[in-house]
Amino acid sequence: MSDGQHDPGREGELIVPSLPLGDAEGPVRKAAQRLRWFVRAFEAQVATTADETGHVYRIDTDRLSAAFAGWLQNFNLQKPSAVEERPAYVGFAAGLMLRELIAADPVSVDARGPSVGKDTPAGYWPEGYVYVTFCLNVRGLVLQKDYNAHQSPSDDVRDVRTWWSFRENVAEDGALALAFLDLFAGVEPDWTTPALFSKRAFGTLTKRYFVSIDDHSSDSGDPG
Amino acid sequence: MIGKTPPPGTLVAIPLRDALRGAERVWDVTEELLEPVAAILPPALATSLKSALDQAERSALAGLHDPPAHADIARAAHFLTGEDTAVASAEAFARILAYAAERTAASTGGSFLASEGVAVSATLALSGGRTGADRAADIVLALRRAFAVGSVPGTPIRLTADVARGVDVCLFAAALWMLAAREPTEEKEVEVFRLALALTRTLSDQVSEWSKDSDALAHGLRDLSEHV
Repeated sequence: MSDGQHDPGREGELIVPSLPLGDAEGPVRKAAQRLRWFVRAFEAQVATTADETGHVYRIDTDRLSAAFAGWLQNFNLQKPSAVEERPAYVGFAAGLMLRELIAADPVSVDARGPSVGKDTPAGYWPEGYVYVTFCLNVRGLVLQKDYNAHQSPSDDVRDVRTWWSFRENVAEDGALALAFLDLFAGVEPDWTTPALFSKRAFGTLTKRYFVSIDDHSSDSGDPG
Repeated sequence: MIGKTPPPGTLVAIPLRDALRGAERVWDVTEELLEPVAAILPPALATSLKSALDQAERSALAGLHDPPAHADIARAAHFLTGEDTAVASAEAFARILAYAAERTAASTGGSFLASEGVAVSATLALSGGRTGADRAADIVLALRRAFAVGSVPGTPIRLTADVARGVDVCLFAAALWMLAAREPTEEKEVEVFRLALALTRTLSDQVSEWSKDSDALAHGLRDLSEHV
């Protein structure tokens, strides 16, 4: 089953793969905390991106599992106990995953797609492109399925100049992956302390993570 | 003291599989030794030994290296958690362990294997009424004490630091696999073990720490099994 949010084929456009929806009985965010779901979803993303770009990718399962283990540890460290903060934590958790994937670097390129130019995100950084699109797609899937919300990725995700800055900055400070993922997801990034969930004001959170919610929802202010 | 005695048929089948695994190891060692002295030793020696092993592999024990059957996996999982403590279930778990040892050694470049016979004896001898991850931890530690997995299973011989670490990884990964949610096919179960092994290898330092204490080990197994 495809959860496509965009038309496929536009260069740099997010292509949503057929991500597994997890157990029928439980929410996607719970399934996403299982290594088997994570690996299958990641493999689906790689296959979809390979189809889109013509790149031939190779996945190192050990490194992928290491990324998951690191993510799980950090996910549990800052998981909020307040139920109303959980939707906001979805975006933060996706950023944590991007940081771990970039650090573990489980994907390599055996051959580059002949028609993907280096002036596009997918051509400039093929591995990073997989990591970002995977994290954005999982983030969007969880928000949609579990919280009836959706994300609207910004134009920055298609701008190779933003990707130049992205790659250079995360090489120096991996925590900036969280801020850049927020940027790509169309929400206001925290460039100061991106890796600290507790530092984020809740009012800002509702604005950041429900940017596309319907007008009748009461998410615009501090819920108190 | 063994609380349950395996039926007579088992007493033949398990030692034969253990012997075959051991013989393969001997062949590997012999082949390595033969290389530098090939000019001295008669070629017929190497040829006849290889031929004998080829015949043994084509016998009724030819499934030695196949992935475990789905029914075995389910049965072994129930044995590990204490839902089913029958001898046949202990044997199923021993076959799972042998498969796990083979895959772990292959993935880590280690040189060790499991003895189904030692595993059956060690696990059946376990007393106490613990269940779930607690019992799983007890079984892991019992197998460790019995050297059910090692360079020469049943003895501490050649248990170097690398092999000891590999053994800890093998035991933990096997238990983690059994405690994790089941899959409907053998192929998917094998994939789950592969992931359990990858996760365990990533956390091998932590696994070694947990392996010093039964409660810590149980906590680690219980927590991680929900995420495999």
